[in-house]
Amino acid sequence: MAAMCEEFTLCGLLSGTEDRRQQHQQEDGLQGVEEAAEPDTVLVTDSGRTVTVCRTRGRWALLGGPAGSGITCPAVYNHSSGEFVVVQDEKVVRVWRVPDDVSLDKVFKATLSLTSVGSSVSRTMSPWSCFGGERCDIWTLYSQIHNKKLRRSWSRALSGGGQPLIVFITEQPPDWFVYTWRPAFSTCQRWKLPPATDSSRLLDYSAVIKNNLVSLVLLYSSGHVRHCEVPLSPSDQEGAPELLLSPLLQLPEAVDSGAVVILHDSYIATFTPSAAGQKDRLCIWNTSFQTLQDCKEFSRKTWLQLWSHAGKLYIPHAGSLLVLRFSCEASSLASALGKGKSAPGAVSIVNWEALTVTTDSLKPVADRRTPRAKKTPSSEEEPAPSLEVLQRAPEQQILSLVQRIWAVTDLARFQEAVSSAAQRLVTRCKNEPNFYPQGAFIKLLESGMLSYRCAELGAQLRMWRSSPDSAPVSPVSGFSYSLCPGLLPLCLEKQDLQGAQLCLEQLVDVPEGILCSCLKSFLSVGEDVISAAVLSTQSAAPYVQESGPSPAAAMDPVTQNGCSSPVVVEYSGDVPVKVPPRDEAQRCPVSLRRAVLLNSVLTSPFSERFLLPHLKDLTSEQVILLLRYLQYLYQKCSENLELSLPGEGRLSVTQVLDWMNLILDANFTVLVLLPKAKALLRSLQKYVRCQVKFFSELSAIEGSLSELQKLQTPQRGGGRYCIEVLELY
Amino acid sequence: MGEFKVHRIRFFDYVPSGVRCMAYSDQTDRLAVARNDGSVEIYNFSANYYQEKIIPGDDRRSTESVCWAAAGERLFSAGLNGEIIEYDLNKLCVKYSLDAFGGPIWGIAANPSNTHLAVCCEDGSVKLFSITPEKIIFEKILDRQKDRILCLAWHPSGSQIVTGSVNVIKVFNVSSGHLLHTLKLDLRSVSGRKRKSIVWSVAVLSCGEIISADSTGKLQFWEIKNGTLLRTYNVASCDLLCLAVAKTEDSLLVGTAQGVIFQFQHLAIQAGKPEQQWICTKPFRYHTHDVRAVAHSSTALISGGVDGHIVSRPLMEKMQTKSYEAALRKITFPHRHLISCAQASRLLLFQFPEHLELWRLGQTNESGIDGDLLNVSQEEELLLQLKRKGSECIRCSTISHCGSWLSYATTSRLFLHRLHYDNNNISITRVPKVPQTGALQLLFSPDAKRLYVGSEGGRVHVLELSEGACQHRHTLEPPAVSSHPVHLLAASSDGSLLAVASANSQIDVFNVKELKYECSVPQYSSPPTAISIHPSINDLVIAHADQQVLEFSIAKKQYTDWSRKVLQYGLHRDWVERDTPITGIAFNPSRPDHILMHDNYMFCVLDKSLPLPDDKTALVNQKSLKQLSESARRSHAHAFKITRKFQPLLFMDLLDDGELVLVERPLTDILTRLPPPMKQKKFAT
Repeated sequence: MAAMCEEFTLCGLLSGTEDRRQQHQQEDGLQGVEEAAEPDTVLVTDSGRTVTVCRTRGRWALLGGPAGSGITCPAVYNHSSGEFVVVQDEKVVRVWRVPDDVSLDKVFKATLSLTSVGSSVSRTMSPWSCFGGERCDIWTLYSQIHNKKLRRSWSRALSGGGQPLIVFITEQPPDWFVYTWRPAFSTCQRWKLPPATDSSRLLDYSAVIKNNLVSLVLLYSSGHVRHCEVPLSPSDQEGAPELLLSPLLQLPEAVDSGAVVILHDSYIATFTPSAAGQKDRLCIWNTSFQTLQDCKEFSRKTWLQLWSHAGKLYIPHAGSLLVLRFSCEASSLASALGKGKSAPGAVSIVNWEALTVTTDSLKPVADRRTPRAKKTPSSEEEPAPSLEVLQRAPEQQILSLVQRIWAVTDLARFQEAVSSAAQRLVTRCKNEPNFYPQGAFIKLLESGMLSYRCAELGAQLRMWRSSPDSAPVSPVSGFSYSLCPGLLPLCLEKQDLQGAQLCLEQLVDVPEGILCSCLKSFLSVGEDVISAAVLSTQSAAPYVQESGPSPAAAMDPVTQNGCSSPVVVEYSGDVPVKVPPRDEAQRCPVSLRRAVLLNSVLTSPFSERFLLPHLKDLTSEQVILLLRYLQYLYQKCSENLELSLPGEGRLSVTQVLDWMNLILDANFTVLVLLPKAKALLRSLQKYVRCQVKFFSELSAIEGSLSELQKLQTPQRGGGRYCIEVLELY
Repeated sequence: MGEFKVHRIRFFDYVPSGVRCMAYSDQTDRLAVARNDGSVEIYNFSANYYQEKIIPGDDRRSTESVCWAAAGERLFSAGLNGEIIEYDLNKLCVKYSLDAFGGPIWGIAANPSNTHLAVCCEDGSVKLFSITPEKIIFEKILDRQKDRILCLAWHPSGSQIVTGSVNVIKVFNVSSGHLLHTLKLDLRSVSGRKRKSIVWSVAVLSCGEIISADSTGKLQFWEIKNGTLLRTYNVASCDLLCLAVAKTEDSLLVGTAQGVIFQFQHLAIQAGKPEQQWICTKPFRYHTHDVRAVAHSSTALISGGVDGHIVSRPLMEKMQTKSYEAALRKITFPHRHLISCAQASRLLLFQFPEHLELWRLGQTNESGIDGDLLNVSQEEELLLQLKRKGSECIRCSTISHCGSWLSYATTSRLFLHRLHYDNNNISITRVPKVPQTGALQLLFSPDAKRLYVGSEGGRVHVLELSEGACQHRHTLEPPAVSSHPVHLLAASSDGSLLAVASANSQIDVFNVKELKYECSVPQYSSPPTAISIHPSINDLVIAHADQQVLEFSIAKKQYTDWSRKVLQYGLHRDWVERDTPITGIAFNPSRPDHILMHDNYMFCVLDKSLPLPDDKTALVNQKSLKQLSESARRSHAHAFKITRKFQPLLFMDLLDDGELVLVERPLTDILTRLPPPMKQKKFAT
């Protein structure tokens, strides 16, 4: 979230009169606002006359240069030497140290060589820059490229990673070039900007150094804001390699002048005139989601200049310099994307729909003066302290703390709060091995259900769930796995079966790998753990008898894999092997509770391609048990000639068959080689063949029945003889 | 306005016989088509492709080849019974037949000067006959060869004859009768086994090139002087069955067993250079089955095959105007009725080449609105199936208005039967000693007391019927001696008038009560395709092959005012450009202003009281009229009320109780009765 606070006037400008604006609209304005010695101070260079050091609270004017001594570039402060530097008349450098009432004429003066100065006379803006406590002159460089008939240039001084850097953009019609100058290495690199496709002009740009890349944001007259990255590492390429421009934002209208400033990783500020409103508009945009974050309008008394230092924006406006404090916090979206501090791990799928539901309304509706996002800081304050507390509170208190989240009414913000609370709890669990607030997690997970209800979207979700072929994409609403990626693995780790089952039910996009690990743990977890878990068995009760597990199902969780294991009695001891498998098939191979758990996996949406490799990790015992359970389910389905099993989960035949296919596909070799699996496979094959035969018979019957129906309903006028009525008008 | 209960009948199992061979005469612009059942049809291409004459077939003969001679005036055919037949085109029967004594004859061709006929026989002989005005006389036999000869062609100069047999083509000198060359076909094995190459058709160009089409799918050009192979075109993977060369020798046509015909054109290889070559330009696929016969008129490619269609595909480059004339024509059904209706007793008589079927129509008690399907309370019923006597195919048949008399004729004999119905039984008795006159058209008088027998020369014999007996009463002679046979007959419902039309548009009206000539209709340029006399006012309505509809008042002996108006105003363009001729006209007694007409693809009620449509309004407007209100309908309606719901329509009549009988013959039903076509790989199957 980003927002601007109310603006206040920092200082009056000597030149900021109305007539002056009219006279020097193009070339003048403020020379610059640069950082000064202390954090709160800035060095304001008024156009050609004065240099002022301002403190953001209170101010004092330091220098009032005499008339005529035109300052031709913004004054800067040399942090290392504590000196102020300014250039007069493009050739006289003035350096002074004490920010007292000093006349500019009295301070140290150095006149630059005529030739180099002469080369820069024609520039409208000085190429001269100073930065990072070190002074650098690039006259030589500048004179080199001067020969190429430059028309316009802007420079920006940056420092990144302790290395000073100058970036400037020049126009050599019809091309634009970006130069990076690193005084430390005395290297200059030239890059070519690809021409804008819509023949728009470059109006302004802003640059930051990030990850050894210069990130440039360029504002074009067509209203496009584009982004490019300039590598700092020297390239071997000869000439000027072309940069790659990517679109970042499209302003609502085309502009003829304007300014752009990068505020943050994902925020930029634009200052552009609005043709309709006769006003200049300062906007903060979130570039990641292309949403308008905040907007302020000014009467047209600005020079469309914009500086940003230390969380403040500086705007010369109507004879005074305005300061706007702004805040850019990593939005929840940013944290979801993994940019936040708390969740550095990769996140598979983000539920955009649910998250952007509020920001949607902020999409470039430029006329809205008070976007909803502005309210965010105030309302966010409520759950925020509870999150802090969650990190420290004893386990007993966690549940009540979590319940405080329910005070939030807004759906999207509620999800956000739930997600961040869960996130913090998961982090804490990882750090403290003994900490596991199961009740709180379950409460949080069940809240998902609550939120559907309040949004009346539950019906949609259920509908989506019941369709077996859905790809694992997010529904209109619902908890995304990515809202709290660590929760489900944590549940599995802590053998919290209830939590895991709830996760599978509530989270709509569980990654296939996690799904498979759920399956593994559900298949191999001990029966005692299962019976200890609080599970609702209603969903599977209609087709799995409560009578208890078949002996084969009570698997040792640490059974060894493969053929080396001693031959376990495949069928139960008291049932002779020769008893027809029909009777055996009548019994469910797993207990009711385990069946419920398995069903929650089977009903989860998945993508075959991603699931298949994970299924290969199942042990042979797990595979056999699952296959037997699937066979049992399939037989149950075909017994009733229904396409889905009863119960709430509505496990459908297609789901069962899909899983069966996947399991067989993934573990084919293992199953073929495994002597234990032979009987199972044989009975499965027998059963399937029998079914195929049966259904082909059915389809034959259907064919002949439809033929019968065709015969019974006389075709309209299609027979050999009919009497019909014809009327001609 | 015009509401009918329609008996929609699809149980008439008529299957057109496959086309075996064709001959086109440039001089008369007529096409002779011989079918597999031995019948020969003559189409007049100048008269809108009208089927002028039909000579019924005979099981004793099968036609293998047909040719015109004497400037398109005489028609010869030869067949597997070994006889050469000349047809009498005025009496529509075989004039004489002559055994060639060479076994089955495979081909017959007249020389370009029309003085001689050559036939090629099974025994390997080529025989020459000279054409005399009355007959043909055997002249000589060319050098006898061993193998059967399947086809032959005259050199345009008439000096040489080229024949095709299995694997060889032979060239004979006509004057000496000697074999000049034997051209052997390439017998290189196809996929490992030797295949016989049967030359199905040959042609000779005036430049001395022989063209052969054979069973291996090759079209080959040979040089007649030395017998060298000039060019080979692999046209198809199946048999090339027939070949026709344009008179100008710049285009030729090949028919294949896959139903595709290919046109080759003699074109300059490079523009502006004199060197020319035959190039396969256009393939056409109009047939589902083998194309057995092709002909090349000066403006069109004509083809016919096992599926029974005759297709005329005009060559666009030869057409002066890109108009209706340039449209493709597909003739499937005969341009005459094979069905007659006993309106009073609701009976239908279907005529097939070898038998007759008598059906009783079903009945319904319901009524409904447009489009309703009514429940049939009494099903249709096949009452009788009557097999012909002898080997001759049935030429014509009729049933009386009351349904108690039935008559049919073959080429040589006339049969009359008396039908008795009591309860559900039907009994049939043949009337003996029927006067045998050459019957071309049959019609009972409405009171069933007379049988009119249309015959050659425009004569109509009037036979008097009495219970169990039949006597010749009178012969109505045309006012002027004519050679044209009776083509159509129509009697007035009061029984006083009989209109007789012949194919040359001569229409005479006789007063049959007094058995005298009444008047003649002014001769129109196009042959009549249907005539009918109005039941109440005795106006004769005539439909012509050029789609003109005329109404002639017999009482006033002139065209009626309405007809003059039509002639003056002109018919709608869409009406004139229909494909098939009007083959049936009927009247609705309850609405004297209405004329009911049909062709193969539409049924029309012509309301004389309504204004005629102009070219700007839609001719077929029933669908749009249906959506309008009653008053708006009145303002938009025009004289032609056309429905295309029923097609292909073979017959239409109005029963006495006002119910309409429409007989359809869907093409898909015909297709199922045909032999399976040659299998072809189709894409995406």
